[in-house]
Amino acid sequence: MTRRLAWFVIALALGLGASAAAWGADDPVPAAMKLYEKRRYEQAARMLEGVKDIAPQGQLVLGMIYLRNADLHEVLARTAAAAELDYLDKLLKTSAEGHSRYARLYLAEALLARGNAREAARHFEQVRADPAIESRYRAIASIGLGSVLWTQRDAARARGLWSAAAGADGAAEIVLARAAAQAGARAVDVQSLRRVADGAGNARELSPRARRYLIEIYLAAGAPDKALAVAQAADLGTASYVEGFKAAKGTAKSISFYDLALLTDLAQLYRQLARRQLEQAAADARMKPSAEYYLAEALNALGSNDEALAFVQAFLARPQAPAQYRERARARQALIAHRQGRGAEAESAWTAMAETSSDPEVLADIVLGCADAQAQCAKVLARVAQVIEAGDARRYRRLNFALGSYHLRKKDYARAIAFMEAGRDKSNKNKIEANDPEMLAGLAEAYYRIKKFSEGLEIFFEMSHEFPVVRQIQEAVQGVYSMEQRSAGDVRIL
Amino acid sequence: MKLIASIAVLTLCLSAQAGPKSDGRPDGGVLNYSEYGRTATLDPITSNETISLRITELVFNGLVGIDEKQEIVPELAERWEASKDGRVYTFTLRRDVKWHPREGEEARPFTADDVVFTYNIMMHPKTITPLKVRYEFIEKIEKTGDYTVVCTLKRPILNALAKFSFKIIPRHGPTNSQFLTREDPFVRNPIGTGPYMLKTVTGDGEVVLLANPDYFKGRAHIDKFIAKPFADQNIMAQALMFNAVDMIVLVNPRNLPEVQGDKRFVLQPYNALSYSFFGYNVRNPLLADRRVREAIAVAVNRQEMLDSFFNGQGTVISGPFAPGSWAYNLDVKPLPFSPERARALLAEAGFKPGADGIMEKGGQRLALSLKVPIEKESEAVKRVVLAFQNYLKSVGAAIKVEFKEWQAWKEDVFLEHNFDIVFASWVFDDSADISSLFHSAEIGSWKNNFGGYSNPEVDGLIVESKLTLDHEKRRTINRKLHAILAEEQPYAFLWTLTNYSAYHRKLRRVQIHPYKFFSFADEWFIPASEQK
Repeated sequence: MTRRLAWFVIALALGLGASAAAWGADDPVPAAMKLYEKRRYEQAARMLEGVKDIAPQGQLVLGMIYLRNADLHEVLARTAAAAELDYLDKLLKTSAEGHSRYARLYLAEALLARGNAREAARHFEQVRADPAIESRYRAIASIGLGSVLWTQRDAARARGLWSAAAGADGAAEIVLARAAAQAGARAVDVQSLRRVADGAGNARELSPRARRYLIEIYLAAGAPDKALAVAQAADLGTASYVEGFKAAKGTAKSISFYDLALLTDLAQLYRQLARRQLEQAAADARMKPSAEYYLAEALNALGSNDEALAFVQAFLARPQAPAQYRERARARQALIAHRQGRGAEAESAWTAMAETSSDPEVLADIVLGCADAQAQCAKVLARVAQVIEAGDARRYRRLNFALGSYHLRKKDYARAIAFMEAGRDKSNKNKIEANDPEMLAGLAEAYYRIKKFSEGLEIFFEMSHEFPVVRQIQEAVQGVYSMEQRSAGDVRIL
Repeated sequence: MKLIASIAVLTLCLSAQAGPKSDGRPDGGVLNYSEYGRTATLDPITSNETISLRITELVFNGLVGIDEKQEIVPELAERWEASKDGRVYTFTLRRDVKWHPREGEEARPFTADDVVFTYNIMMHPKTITPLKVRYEFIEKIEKTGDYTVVCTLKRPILNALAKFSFKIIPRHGPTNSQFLTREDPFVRNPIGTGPYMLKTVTGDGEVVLLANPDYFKGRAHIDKFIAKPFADQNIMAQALMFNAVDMIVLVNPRNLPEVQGDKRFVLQPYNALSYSFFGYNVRNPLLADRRVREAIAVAVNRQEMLDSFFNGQGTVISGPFAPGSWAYNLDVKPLPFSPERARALLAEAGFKPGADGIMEKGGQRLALSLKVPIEKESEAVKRVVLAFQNYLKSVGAAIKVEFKEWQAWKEDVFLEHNFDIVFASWVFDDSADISSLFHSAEIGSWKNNFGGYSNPEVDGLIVESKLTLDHEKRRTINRKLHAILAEEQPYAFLWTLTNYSAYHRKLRRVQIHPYKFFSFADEWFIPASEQK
């Protein structure tokens, strides 16, 4: 797919009568594209980020890299939520001896990150009232509760809690927590946010929690480059907090906690960066068509549906656009329509497209649109089943992945696994070069849901080499697995 | 009258379980599956390898089973109660279970006597089994009626109920009623209560199993299972392609592309919790030195071997757990490939190069034997072994490779301890229990700590892990164990390979247990039109 994409970029440029995009000998763009093809998004991005006066094609490619990385982090956030909410809940239910005090705070924050404000509030209240918890974290719980109240439109109480939050220690972290909460609520102006963030950013050492707050503040302040710098200065696999326990004798246990919100923050960060790069690329006449295509996607994902629609329409207005990408843009257009409340129109468009197309990439985009919109799309699925049955399985990897994603969102985990496994390159089972990491992350979630924990852990073990942030998922799955497994303790020689 | 009627109804209901299943799926057909070797023993007590594990899963039952959702389900016990302190478990047994009949005999009923017998024979000091360490937490098992057993534990433990999935054998089975050895005819000709009965083991080593018509969960659908041993792994995929077998238990990674490309077959991943290793016999003074073991580990380029011989289809590991395990310490990285470090370590250990380039110390050459089971003699394994030889030669260690027939290899390793290094793999269930591999009490005949490794700190941690009732504490302990064993290198920990089984699409409703494989095989079926 990506090789085709490279040709698309050049072909479109040629089709518009512009001179061919010729790669210079030292041009990092081809090398970055190779890494992009291997799904090594972080490395690919790094290769281009440091380039001074990057050319428009470089901006386009960097935009595409950020876009894919954003999608991946969004899927990782969903997978992480499944495991981490379970894990934290189980920790809370552990018997009194050796009971974790901090699981509740992290559960509250995870619930808030996933939009479950009411449950989050309950836990924040309990953390605030627990004298055994360090005062800084009780203050952070107060700030979290303030965020909940803000979502419930109780701005006065929210502001009150934010202002009052203080701790005997960790003042800098509390300041950042407050600013991040206010940033999320859009309750304070951008300049104030920048001042707080720039002040904190000068600190020699930032805790993982402080870094996460900084990322959120910079994103809200319209400074994604600064947020990126914060993210890149850190080992994203580091635990946010390690709770140590005393042991009268023997081993003293420890439990590591992570910020679930970090994954959503990174998804948002990469989307904003993608937008910026693509907008810059679009300023160049040769890159404009391709940039429009991807801008539609980026803006759609950012929730700017009107702008997304404008770009997809602009792309569709170009007669030179390759047929496949035209169809895929139409599939995107339907998704935008769905997001704008025109669900019936969207399904109708998808159905009509599916009935006349046998291009697996187009069909995959349609199915992914249905998954994203959580639409029924029964006729689309029936048509796709016919196409798959009749054809060569090796052509339908991405289509199988799309079907798997659809069924995963519908919570039909057996079907999700069946389709994703059908699309998986089994000779390179967990390698991101051979299998889209978004698919692998979705597959890991499906396996998690049916309690085949080791399959998911294998996937993330491999993925962690390129994306260390998955460490939080690994820890949560390991934790749940250790509690859920019912094996007798057998081992055999093979 | 009412009471008699009730009992009659109850009896009818219970006995109605035997006979065909009521799921509407067809009976019939034969499933031929490939194994990469033969096994000498077919019982659940003396066997210690995966080939026999799969067969015992078809032939025997435990008091409880574990379903695909990780839930404990009734099996030979229809219900149970646990005391509040977690120390006493009372099992009420099914009354409708019969043992597979021997030729010319009536089938005998399964009773509490069989449960007590199994436990006692398993724990007898003269019984050869690696199971004792797993059940040391049980104080006693007694019958309080023909269909009631009471198990008293020495202490409450995590996950106690799952432990009672151990397979029950009949009191009238073994010749010796006190203890079980590999010489007892029962281990080659077992009878159980399971969905399949052993019919015969042919001269070629094929194990033929027939569906048990009186199985208490309903007769299994497929009439016959045949385990076919293959001396050469390389031809298993061809056997599948040419319909000589319907299923391969473990596909050679090199054959995955070919099988995946063929629409007739399904590839199903399982068994992620296994890893390969070179295991050391630390009774050899040369290998008792940790620096020598570490030198060997860093002299070998594991990633290169994985990439070259297994098409990169696996993951290099750093310690005693597979990466898919909940116990894997994610902070411990594999030792890096470094021949320079290997030489430095050997020098530190007092070795100097001899005239032929082989290291010497105190007049003794660093010459070691490597024993490999011949059934594992796939192309890939041969190359691994050769590569290992070459890597070690380059740092001054001479390795003599010996391929041995499987049973002879097992005797050398587990019984005689007649080896310096072995190349082998372990497969684990989900419990991540490495106690039998590395605790010093597990050194001895037919026990899993065949290398003789002993470390009091490791012993202490293993015991602590078994005693704790705190899951997170157990995780912390296992992370520590991983770190220590990665440092100590009782094995050169190599890799976990990509694991898939492959089977013909005619097999339906195939759920594979990640460790035991055939746990749900009584539900598999073949449509009537596709039965041979």
